[in-house]
Amino acid sequence: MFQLDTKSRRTIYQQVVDNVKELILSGVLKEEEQLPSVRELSKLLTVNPNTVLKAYRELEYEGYVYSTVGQGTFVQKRQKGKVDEELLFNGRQSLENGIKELLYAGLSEEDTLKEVNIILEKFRKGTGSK
Amino acid sequence: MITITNLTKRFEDFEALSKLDMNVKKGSIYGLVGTNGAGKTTVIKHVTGVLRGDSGEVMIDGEPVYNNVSEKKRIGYVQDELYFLGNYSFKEMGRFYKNIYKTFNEDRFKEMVNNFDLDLNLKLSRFSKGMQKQAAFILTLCTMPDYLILDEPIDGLDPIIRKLVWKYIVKDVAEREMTVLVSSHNLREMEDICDSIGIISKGRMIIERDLDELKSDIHKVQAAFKDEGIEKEVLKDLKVVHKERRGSVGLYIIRDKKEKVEKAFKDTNPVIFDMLPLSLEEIFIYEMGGGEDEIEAILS
Amino acid sequence: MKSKQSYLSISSPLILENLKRFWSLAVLSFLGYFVSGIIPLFLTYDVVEHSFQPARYLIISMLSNNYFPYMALSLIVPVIGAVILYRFLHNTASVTMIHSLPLTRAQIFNSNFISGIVLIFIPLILTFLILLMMSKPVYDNMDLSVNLFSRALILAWFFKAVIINLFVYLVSIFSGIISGNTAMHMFLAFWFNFLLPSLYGIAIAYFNKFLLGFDSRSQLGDVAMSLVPYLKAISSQEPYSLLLLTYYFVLMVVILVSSVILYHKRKLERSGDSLVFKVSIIVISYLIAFYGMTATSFSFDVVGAGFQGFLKSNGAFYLGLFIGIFIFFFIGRMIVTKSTRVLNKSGFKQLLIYLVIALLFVASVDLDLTGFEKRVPQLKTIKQIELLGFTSIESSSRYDEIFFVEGGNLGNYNQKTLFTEAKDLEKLVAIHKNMISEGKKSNLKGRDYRISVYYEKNNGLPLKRAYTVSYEYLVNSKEFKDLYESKSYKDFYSFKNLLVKMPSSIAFYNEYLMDVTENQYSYSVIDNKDEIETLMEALEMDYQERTWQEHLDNKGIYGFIELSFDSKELKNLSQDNQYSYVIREKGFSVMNFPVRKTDAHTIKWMEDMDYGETMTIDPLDIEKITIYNRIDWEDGEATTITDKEEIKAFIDSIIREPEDYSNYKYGIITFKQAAPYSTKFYDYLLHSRPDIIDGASTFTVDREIFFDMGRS
Repeated sequence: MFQLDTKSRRTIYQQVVDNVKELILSGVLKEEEQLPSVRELSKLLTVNPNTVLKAYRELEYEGYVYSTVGQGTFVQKRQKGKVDEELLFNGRQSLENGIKELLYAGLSEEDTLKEVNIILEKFRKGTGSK
Repeated sequence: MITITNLTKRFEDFEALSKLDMNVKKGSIYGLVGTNGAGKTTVIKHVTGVLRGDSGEVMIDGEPVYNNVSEKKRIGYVQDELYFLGNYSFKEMGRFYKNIYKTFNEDRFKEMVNNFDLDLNLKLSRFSKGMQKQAAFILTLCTMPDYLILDEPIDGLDPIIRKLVWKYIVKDVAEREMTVLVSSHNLREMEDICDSIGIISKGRMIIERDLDELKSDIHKVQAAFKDEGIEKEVLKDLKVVHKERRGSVGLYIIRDKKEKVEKAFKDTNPVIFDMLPLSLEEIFIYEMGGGEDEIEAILS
Repeated sequence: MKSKQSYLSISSPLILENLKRFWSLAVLSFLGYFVSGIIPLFLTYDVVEHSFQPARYLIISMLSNNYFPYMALSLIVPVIGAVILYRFLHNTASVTMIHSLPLTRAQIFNSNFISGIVLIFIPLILTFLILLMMSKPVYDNMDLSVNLFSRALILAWFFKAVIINLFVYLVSIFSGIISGNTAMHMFLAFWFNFLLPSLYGIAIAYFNKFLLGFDSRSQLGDVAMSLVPYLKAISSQEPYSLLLLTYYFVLMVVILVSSVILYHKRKLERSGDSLVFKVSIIVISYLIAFYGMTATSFSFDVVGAGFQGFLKSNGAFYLGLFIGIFIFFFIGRMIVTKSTRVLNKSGFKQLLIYLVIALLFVASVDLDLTGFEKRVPQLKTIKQIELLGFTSIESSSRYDEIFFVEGGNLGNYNQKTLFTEAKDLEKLVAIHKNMISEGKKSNLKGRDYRISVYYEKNNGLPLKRAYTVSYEYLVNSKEFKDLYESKSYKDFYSFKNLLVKMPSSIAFYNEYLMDVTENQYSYSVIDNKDEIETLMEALEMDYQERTWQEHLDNKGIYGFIELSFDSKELKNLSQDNQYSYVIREKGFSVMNFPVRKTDAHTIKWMEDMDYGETMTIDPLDIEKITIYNRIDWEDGEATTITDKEEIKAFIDSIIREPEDYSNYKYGIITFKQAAPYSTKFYDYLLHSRPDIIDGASTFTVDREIFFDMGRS
């Protein structure tokens, strides 16, 4: 499904959460689609099942997925229009950092905006994941 | 679950464990971390029923472990110092385990031996040290333990084998809710696999937390302020474990909630602000009081 | 789970694994028994019943637990068994592994224990069964109704072997439980098996040295050996008495229970150290110091005896004691702590404590704090007294109890001198007090005699003492004279108390007319009933009339008498002795004693019956006597005597053993070789007279003969 970056500073847990989110956002995981069970995913990734469990709980808490007892974990139907405040804050922070770096790299403001569109396009089309 | 309460153990005049508490939740992978001689192996020997504390309790699922066969048969222990009976071959050792542990799984044994590519007929004394560790691990895991205790298990194993070992462990934790207690110096690896951490120092449990919680409570901040005086303001209400200056940038290790830290810094509009999580290794080093300077002092 | 059941639980997988791992011990042990014992027997099986076959002696020795290879195996195999089975305790990795297995400590201990029992006893049982199958009639030379290779004897051997091996095994296990490493385990296993006897022996050595009257002979041998079954089996053929068996059983139970308890208490983390229990570190270093100080003190004492003054009077002993304590205490400490850093504060502290204890012990013995030396029971509390040593002055079997007491043993020749009459008891108490006041006087110049006094009090308690007295003391003792010449004493060994009144034959000879290398004896034998009767009468009269001085006089020996009692008759009288070994131990049923020059009746009989020639040396038969003047144990110049009168004087002064070693001469008699001597000489071994004595060579009696110059 996705690869974990062992060198990254982000915890495994964080990576699982982020990666699942990305898969959902990019449409690889469709609404109501079942996620692999905690067991399966932990075995697949060689990751502590508790970690996977925690990640799934976090995703559920943030509204990306829901779980039914005995059935599994499924992608939540996305409610259009709702905006998560904390995610927004984080997103803004990341965006700011990202743009800062693009600017330092030597891109012009115009080209920077172009980059943003390219990324948005990627998510719209739903092709692949990192 | 494994519960240790107020455990004290003295060797002659030396107090190896001092009123130590430990809690390992069922189905978790608990990493026991500490400097050399902190007491990790001693704790493990109590959990596996080898040693008996001078005072305090060591329980598994509410029952004391010492001399308790019904508990001990659910425990699988891979020692740091390996020992195999006499001149036994791998196969004979397997048979021994099968006779002692009624839960020994022969199919799994065959499968693992195959996957690890080890020779069943060779005498274990002729195995290389790394292969002996693998053999010990296989033998133990095939007894299908509810509790797997590993003392420095992966030191000396090559990366491929290491991955294989973790794979098996994770499989059992996922499928059978096996509880794992592992002690190691390889914090990077522990970080990936453990969900709880216990840091021991001088026979005491210093920190015992869920790993993610542990990480979320301590942060590394790199920041530069326009004005020196601001630094003092910012750090005033924060628990600063460590402070360093690298040129014009300050490095701060702060033990506080993420939001509090962020707000404190951002409110002052720093020129540079970077908040990074710490790796387990770094947390360990700073908790043990050894900053980079201290370590340099030791090394030099 | 402290139920009784759990203390006895075992783990069959563990037992099986042990057997699988260590079966070679059982095989080697069996091979040992088989090759050293069964095979030699098997090879000579057809002829084994013949006399003088070595295999006979093999059987006797094997079945009386005397056979070196078997006894070696009985010691080594159980020790090694214990070592290999409990070795897991002596290494951190193994002790951790074994104790992390789902087994209780009881299971671990018991399983290893049982594994050892199997490994040790299977070879023994097999050997036993094979011997049973090989059992066949092999008769005793002395007594044809006794089968030396009977099933009963084999069973008796097996029973003892089981006890011995079990005991050694248990002691070895105990040693393993208190040790932390294999080297210490083996050291303690071998040592502890002989700990009790050796400590006992050492204590006796101290008592013997310091306490006047201490009777080490009665205390030492038998008791020391009995303390452990191994030594008891080697030193005596008797079966273990019920009392002894009970003692062994109790001791074994104590050892086993201690092992179990200590094992449960054992701190596993201490494997690798030499000793696990702190107490044992102290105890063992003290024991080593004790052994060491004894060795040095007694060695110094021996050397010191050669000097005068301070060194002579126990000074050397104490010097050795101190030196020994210092050296061996620290050596012991080094061994038990496995380090050379023993000269530290705690080491000196322990040394001090030990020093105090050791000095208290030695001083209390030396100063006789218990009043041992002076203790003489009150007359009215005494039931009986036995006096021993009276008769041993005369080296003979005249007083052997086998001839006087039913079921008596050869060598116990004094058991009958038991006095119960008040007047006799009075005399004896006086003698005892006298000997105490005489004190310890070492007589380098002459012979010492050992007199033992054994009291039995009315309350059943015994008091045993033994004193070394000089010849002078005895000769001059009025009390001894009184006692000896009393009717109560003479009654004991009167011939009218013989179990078999008349011997079937009597032989007489002169010891000095014997050439040892050629076995030529001047020897006569009579078997005529009347002659025997009259001679016995004469002997009895002389015995009754003999004075104390005459009894002590071992110089004027006329010749020797041998009374042969039919051993079958003797045996009939002690039929309750089922064990053939007893009869073997009784030896020859021949009573042998000297005829003194003062035994007028006997000498008259000899001359009347014309046997005098056999007994006396005719100076005319002697060619020459060569005299050496011995000075300080070295032969000086030789003088040759050929004058008839001088020769006669020398002949008259022959003594058996000099009293005063500074006043005697040593010589060799050379006989003239002549045909008439062929009638006079008798080949003892071949029971025949030699036809011809070689004409060419000179017939010599090359024996060391002592001439008492004081006499001539």
